Amino acid sequence: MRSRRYVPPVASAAAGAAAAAIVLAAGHGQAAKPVPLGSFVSRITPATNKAQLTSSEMATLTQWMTRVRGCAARHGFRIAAPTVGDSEVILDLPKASKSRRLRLLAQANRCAEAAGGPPPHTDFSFEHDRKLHLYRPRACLLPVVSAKA
Amino acid sequence: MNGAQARWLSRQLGVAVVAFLAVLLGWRVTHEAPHIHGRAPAAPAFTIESLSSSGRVELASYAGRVVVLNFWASWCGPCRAELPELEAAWRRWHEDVVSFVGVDVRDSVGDAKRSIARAKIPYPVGHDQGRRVESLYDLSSLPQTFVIAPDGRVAAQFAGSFERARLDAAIAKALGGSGGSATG
Repeated sequence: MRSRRYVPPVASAAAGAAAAAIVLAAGHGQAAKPVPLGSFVSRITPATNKAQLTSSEMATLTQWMTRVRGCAARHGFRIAAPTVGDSEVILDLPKASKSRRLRLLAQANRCAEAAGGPPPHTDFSFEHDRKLHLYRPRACLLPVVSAKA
Repeated sequence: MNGAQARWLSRQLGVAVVAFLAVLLGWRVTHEAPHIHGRAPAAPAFTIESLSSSGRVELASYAGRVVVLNFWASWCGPCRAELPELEAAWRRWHEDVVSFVGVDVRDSVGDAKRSIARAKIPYPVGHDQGRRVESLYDLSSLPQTFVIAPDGRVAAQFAGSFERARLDAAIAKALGGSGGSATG
């Protein structure tokens, strides 16, 4: 055993390298199989469609929301000051009956138009959290159309 | 098996494992594929009417080149916002073996042509009549940009506006890691 202990383990290294080559060859064969385009592409969802805003953009969006808020207040709808997130400015609407909330939304839309419309490349929307959101969308979302064979 | 034999055997096994891992690591370092090239899907072929000139835009006619395929619409704000960036990318890359192709989807031909003229888009743009190409590429949002390698496979895809550095890196990889002539 003494002589074996000091022999450079070339055969073992070669065996390990050969095993790796076999694994690579097998993996390479699998990698050549293309994946369907639909599973390859990344998608933007409503939750991921808000672009990060620069401080300058944030200031512009906050200023515009403040104008909308002021306009709504002049028409009898008091809304809290806009709050700022990483990628959007939000107006939290006060709790109200459904009919009053609808009137408030209608007024907010009129105020948005009076303020010259949302700033360029932004979306002003009422979302499921019952808040008004102003953000710069990363993309225009389309209804999904399944690929034809 | 006595103690000495066991130690000898474990040493040989250790050497084999190290060699195995070294070969795998070495392969990965020296054969880092551009994106998932090799497993990537083939870019679906299409032929559509050109909006920027008479004739047609045919993807197959760009075989052997890297193609930057941009889907857009004139009514889509993020699409319009990225047009200058696309034009700048075209300036950086068009002298390499890189072609830019636009596909206008869900749009009126008149609006699209006006946008092309206004933005002075320098590369061919086709109109996707009947959402056929949109369907082939399984689009769910606009803009969307695909980088297609010379072998016709999709090398990269950007949903929404792309970042300049990431597009340049994808083009460079599709070109074969040469880095092209991107100047940033």
